[in-house]
Amino acid sequence: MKTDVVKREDVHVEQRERRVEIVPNTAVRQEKDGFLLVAEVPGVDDKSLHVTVENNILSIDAANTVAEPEGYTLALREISPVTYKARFELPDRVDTSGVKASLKNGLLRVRLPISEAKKPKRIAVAAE
Amino acid sequence: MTSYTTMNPWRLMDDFLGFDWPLSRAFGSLAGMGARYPRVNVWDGPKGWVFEAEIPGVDPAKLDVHIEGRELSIKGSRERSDGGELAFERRFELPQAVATEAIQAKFANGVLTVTLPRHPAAEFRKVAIELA
Repeated sequence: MKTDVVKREDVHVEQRERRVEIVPNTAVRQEKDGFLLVAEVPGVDDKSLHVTVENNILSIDAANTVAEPEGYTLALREISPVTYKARFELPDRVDTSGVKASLKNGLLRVRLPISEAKKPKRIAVAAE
Repeated sequence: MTSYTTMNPWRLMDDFLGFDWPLSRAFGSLAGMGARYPRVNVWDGPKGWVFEAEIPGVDPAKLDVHIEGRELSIKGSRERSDGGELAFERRFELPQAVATEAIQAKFANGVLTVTLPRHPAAEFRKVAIELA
């Protein structure tokens, strides 16, 4: 495996970096009662995270925090200040009033329940 | 201002009901794919070094931070979107010796922060000259 050598002169960073917008890595999977959307938002705390649902559009807006210890110089820069932004069109069968979001260890989980009325129902067949 | 489109993964999901459909296929892998993982920022200061590594979703108990001589290694495993495990490891060579007993590591919001104080022997010191 390659070992990265830490050297002070490796990085020349502009003092004020522009915060760029990126789409977080996201996965969606179907669960028993709905969908689970998982987005990677490392460095984001709950105060700088905004999740909204409006007109069947789920929006994620989050700014990460990158440490800048005082008196220190960057030797290796792979993480930048970013705003994670994404929008998802929800299917009609999602009950938007029941959407729940949680944040843990840099992962945002959004549970999107399927409304009771839209769940498949077994139709009893009457024998004649 | 970046423009971004509204995504509808469900349109596809309807076709392949029951399958995982990682959006990440369209936006790069969930794990940073091939590139160095985890991504880090390294700070060099008068007292030593500070490493920050982005490892969202990892169980801190599955993280192993190790120092051997001047080499720091960060390794562990995390869950992939398809339920499998993804193992990762990165190694870094520091320019000077580290006070190994004073290393600190913490994990918050998917970011691992490791603080490595410089070994006192590696600090610059003014050497007093004894008069004969």
